[in-house]
Amino acid sequence: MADITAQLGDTAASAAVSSRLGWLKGGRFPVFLVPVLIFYALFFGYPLVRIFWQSVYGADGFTLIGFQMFVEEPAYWMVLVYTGILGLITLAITLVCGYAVAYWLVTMDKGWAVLLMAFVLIPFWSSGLVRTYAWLVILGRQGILNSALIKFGLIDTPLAFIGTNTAVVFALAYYLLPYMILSLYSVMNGIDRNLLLAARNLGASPMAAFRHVFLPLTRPGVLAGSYMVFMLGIGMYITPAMLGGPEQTTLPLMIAIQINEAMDWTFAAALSVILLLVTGSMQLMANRFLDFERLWGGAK
Amino acid sequence: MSSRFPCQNLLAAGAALALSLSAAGASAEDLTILSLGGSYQENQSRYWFKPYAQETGVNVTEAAGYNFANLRVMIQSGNVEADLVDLSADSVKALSREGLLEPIDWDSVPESCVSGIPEDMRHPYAFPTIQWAMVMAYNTETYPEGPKSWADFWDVEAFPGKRGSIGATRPPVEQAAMAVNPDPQQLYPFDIDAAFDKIAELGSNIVFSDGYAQVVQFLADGEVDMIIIPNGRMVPLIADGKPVAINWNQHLRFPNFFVIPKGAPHVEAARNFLNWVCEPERLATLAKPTNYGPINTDAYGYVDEDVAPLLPGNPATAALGRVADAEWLGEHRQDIARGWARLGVR
Repeated sequence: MADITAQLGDTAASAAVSSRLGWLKGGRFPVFLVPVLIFYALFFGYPLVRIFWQSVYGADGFTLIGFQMFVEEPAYWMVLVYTGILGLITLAITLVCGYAVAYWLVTMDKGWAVLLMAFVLIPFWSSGLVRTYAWLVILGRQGILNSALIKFGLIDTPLAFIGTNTAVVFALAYYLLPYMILSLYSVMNGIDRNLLLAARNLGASPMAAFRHVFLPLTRPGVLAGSYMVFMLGIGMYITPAMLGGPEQTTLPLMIAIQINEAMDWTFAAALSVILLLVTGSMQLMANRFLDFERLWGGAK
Repeated sequence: MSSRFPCQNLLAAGAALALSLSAAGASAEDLTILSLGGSYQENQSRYWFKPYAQETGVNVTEAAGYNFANLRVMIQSGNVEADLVDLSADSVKALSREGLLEPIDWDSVPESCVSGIPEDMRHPYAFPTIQWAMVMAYNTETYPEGPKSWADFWDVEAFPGKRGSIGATRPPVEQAAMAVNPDPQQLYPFDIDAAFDKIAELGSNIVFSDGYAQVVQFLADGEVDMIIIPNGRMVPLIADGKPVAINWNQHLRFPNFFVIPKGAPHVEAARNFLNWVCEPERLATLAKPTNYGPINTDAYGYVDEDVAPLLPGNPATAALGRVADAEWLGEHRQDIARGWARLGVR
C-alpha cells in the first residue's frame, strides 16, 4: 500500500511541476525539487530523447526508414491494434473484478480487510516472471487445469490454452488486478459512508444509493486504475512472450525482436516512439476531461 | 562502467582469491573471457579456463551473459572489458564487417591445431571451437518408428501430435523450407515468405515458446511429441533415460568462435590462451559433457566412441546436414522478423 501511494505521490508531484509553473512569472523557485528534476532529466529525460533521436538518425544520417517500414507493412499495424485491444480487454476484466473486490474490502470489518489486503499485496510484490510461469503450470496441456478437467470426465483430450488469447488475457488480468484494486480501494476508503446513509434516509433504495452516490464518487479511482492497468498492459513483455503464440505478438515483443534478433535499432526506436505517441496521445485525451490533480489526490 | 557485467567483480574477486591461494608466485598476466553462461560455460570453465589458469598462472576472469547488441556497443564505445568472447558465426560476420574484431594471428597458431580445422572455418578474425546443431528430437513412445525428415515433421496425418519450437526469436524457417525442398545442400537461398506459409500450415499443431529450455521441458512433460532444438539441449533428457531420440537428417550446424574484440586490454594474453586451447585433445574435452562437436576434426581421435555419434559434425552424420549460412541469415533477419509479425495476423 505504501508502495502504491508513494508511486501515486510521485506522479502527483510531477503533475504539480507542470501545472504550477508560476515561479517562472516571478514566483519563488522550488529549490527542493532540484534533486528530483536532475534525477528525472538524467535517467528519464535523456534516454527518452535518445530514443527519439535514434528513431530518426541511423548509420547513414537522418532517416525516416523506421517509420516507413511500419507504415508499409499492415502486419505491424495489426500488431499495434492487437496490443491496444489486449490492453482494453484486460482493463475491462480487471475493472469488473477489481471494483467488486475493492468494494467488498472497504465494507468489511477492518481486521479482516487487512488480512485480505495481504492476499492482494503478496502477488503484487512477487516477480512477474514467476507468476507467469505459474500460469504455464496451470494452463499446460498436462497442467493442473487440464488434468482436473480430464479427471472429472469433462473432456477427453487436453485443451490447448498456451498460445491462445485466453491464456494471455487471463494472465495479464491476474498480473494487473492488484493495481486496479489498490487504486479503487484508496478512493473508496476515503468516501464518507454517511453519504450513503443520508441517501437511504432520504428514501433511496440501496441500489439507487450505490448508483447515484457511491459510484460517481469512485470515478477518480476508476479512472486512475484504468489508466494504470491499460498503460502497463500494453507495455507488458513477459506475459505475451511466454504464454502467447504468433497471434499474440504485441508491440513490445516486436521491439524486443528488432533489438535482439533483427538488430535494427532504428526500427526498434521508431516502434518505441510509435508506442509512446499512442500512449502519450491517450494521456492528452485523458487530460482533456480529467482533472489529474484531483484524480491522483482521490475524492475529497 | 564496471557494472556492465554485474557478476564480474565478484568472479574477479573469487578468481583472484583462488589464484592467490593456489598459484603462489604466478605472473600477473590478466585475461577476461566473456562467454554464454549456463552449463556450456560451466564446462568451458572446468575443462578450459581453470586448467589454463592453473597451468600458466594467468589471472583468468570469467564473465557471462551478453547479447549482441550490448557487446557491439561495448566495443564501439571503446570501453572493452573482455579480451576473449565466445561468439556465434553470424555475430562474427557482423562484427568483423564493422571492423570491431582483432585479427587472429594464424601464423602463430601451432600446426598441430590448424591441420584439423576445415579450410572454410579458418576465419581471419575468429577462431573456431565447437559447433552445435539444430536437430529434430521426438518422443520414441509416441513414434516408435520415428519421423525421418522435416517433411515428416510437417505431416500431421502420418505423425499426429503436437510439435514444439522456439518462436519469435528464431522461427523455424529453414526447417520449413527443407520440408518442401529436402536437400540441405540446396537450402540457401530460400523464399522466407513461403517458409512462413509452410509454418502457418501447422496451425495449432505447433506450440511456440519463448526459450529453448521451455521447448525441452514441453518434450519432457509430454506437452509436445516432436521439437526443433539445439542438440546440446537434449543431453540431460538422454542422460535421464527419457524416451527421446534425435533425428540427424537435415540438421543445421552452427559453429562457435572465440574472438578478440578490438580494443581488448590484453590481446597478447588472449592469443596465448587460443594457442593453448586449440590443441585437438583440449578441444575434445568439451564433447562429452556438452554434446557440442569440436570443429577440429583431429579432436575426434580423443572423443569416446559412444559420445561421437551424439556430436554435430562427426563423420558419420555430418553429410546428413550442413553448416547454416550465417551470412545469408544475417542479411535476412528483418525479413524473418516481418514474416513472424505477418504469421500472427493471417
